[in-house]
Amino acid sequence: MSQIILLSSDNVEMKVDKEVAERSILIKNMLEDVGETPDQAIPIPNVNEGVLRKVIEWCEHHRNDPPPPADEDSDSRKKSTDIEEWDQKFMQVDQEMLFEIILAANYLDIKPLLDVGCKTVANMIKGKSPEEIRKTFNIQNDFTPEEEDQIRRENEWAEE
Amino acid sequence: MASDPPAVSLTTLSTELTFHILSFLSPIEYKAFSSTSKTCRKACIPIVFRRVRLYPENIQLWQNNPAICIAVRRVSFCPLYIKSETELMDYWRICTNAVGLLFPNVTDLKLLYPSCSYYLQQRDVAERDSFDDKLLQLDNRIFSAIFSTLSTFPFYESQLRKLHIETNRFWSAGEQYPSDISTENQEFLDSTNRVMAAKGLDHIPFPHMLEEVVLTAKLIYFTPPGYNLHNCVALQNCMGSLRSFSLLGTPDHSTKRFSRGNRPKDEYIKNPILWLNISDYVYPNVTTLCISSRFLTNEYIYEFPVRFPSLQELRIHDPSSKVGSMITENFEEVTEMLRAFKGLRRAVIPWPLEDTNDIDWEKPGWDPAPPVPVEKIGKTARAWFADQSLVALERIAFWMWDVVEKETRCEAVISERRFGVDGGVHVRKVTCTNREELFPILGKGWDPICWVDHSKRLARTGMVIG
Repeated sequence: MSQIILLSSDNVEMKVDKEVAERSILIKNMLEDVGETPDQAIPIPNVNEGVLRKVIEWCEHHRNDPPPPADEDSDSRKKSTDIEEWDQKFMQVDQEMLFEIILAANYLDIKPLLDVGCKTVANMIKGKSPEEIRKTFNIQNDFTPEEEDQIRRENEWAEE
Repeated sequence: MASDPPAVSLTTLSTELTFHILSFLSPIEYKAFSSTSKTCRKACIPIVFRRVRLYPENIQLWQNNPAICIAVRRVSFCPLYIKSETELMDYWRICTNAVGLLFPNVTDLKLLYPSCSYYLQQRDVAERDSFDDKLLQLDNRIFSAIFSTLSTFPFYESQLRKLHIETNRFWSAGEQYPSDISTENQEFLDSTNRVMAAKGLDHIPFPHMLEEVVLTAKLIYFTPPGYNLHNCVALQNCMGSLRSFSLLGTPDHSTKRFSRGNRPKDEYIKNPILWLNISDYVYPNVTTLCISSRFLTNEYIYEFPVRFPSLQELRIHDPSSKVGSMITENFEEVTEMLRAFKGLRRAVIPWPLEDTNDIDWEKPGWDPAPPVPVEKIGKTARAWFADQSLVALERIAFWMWDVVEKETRCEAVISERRFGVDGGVHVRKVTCTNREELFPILGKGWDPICWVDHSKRLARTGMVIG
């Protein structure tokens, strides 16, 4: 099994199986462009060591996953925020790490990981009032009471 | 951890990622999220206000919020709480004019009960059963006025991609032609003639870029813009662009009419294709077709594969709750039709709650012995079962598997509907993806199923044989 080396933004080298790294479409395309397995480390400038290790851990676990279903079922995928058990445990991290993973998955183009991350955040928003959402994500309420009133009214125009 | 990283949080994500997160949420949830702070609000406007409802009362507010107006893609019209004819006409005159002026990016229009909510509100269902031609004329004039106004705006031809019209007409026998129409509204009604004359047309065609049409109506009485919707003349204009086409009947009400011995007008019985006059047209790009189960007894169903040569998905909608009997009556023809679609990948057949007692399950067509398999139909077939009889469930399951889904996966969604204390309909679904899984589910006793008899607005309860 051929291996490649990834270089995190803070200059830490990590050896991973090519197959695992290719869960990232970005890396996959890069390797295809190069044509052969490169000797030097591939720099991942936007992702630090801690996050990159986490992302690799996910890719290792999901290395044999079938490719995601075609667009045909994208509607049903959107609606469900179900997350499989291993992924749920994997996502039990602090918020900063959670958002770092989302950013890394987006940058590295790992769609299923991006979805798991976003579903995790969506589940944290679900069923909460605006005040509860503010508390959960530490968002500052910068509306005046009048503005809040206006927003409530505006929201009534939008369809449920 | 780096010593001093820029704080990463929900509010620092790019708009694209925020939208991706919100795509997993329901409108009510992302509305709550959008109400947390100014930054969130700004980011969420394109999502929260994609679909809006227009009322005469909130037009002022829209005018003061151009940022929100820009976000609007779909506008729904639902003149529900209308108390008089004048109010109904006011509604349409004001709203149709406003939509063209307020929302530069609108692509979808949804018209719910555009002309008869007044009557729906006012009349007892039992009284509405008879039909009044004068009111039909008025109804058609309202319809035409709506479309002649809409079609004067540039968005109608250049942007409109999706049109959803749902009508339901019930009138009382002795009702008179309304007399309380103001001059202004009369003018609105009359404008139709002017617009049509100017265009040299006898009907207002649907926009020629239209991709998706949903027409829901009591079929035999559905007369779309230009007095002639039952012939789908308005659709001629968009035959080439249309990708998805649904022609449906309204649930329940129409059943009641027929189940009481009312029959469609003679001309429709003699020439059932009038119910969906497709004989002159070909829709080359329609991939999704949704039709009422009534069409299954239409002697011209062999036309469907010819008229819709690119069809991939056929959905059978069941306003009459009699899809079973429709299929039974016309079993060979339906099977033949399914086979004739060259590219069909999915058939969706519902199984409704009511009115199953009179189905003749012993008819040979329902024998579980598999009929000839349908070639070229692959992938997913889906049936919604919500029947009270296990026999019926089993048989339609066999039918689905053997006729539609011989070789691949079949998904059966068994729905149990409840009308909760909140007035909502609660549905529980059990999904199974192979034949073996289905039978244990069928064998289990279900909880009582509650359903509403719309004619009496009373809940009735039935037990499922378990």
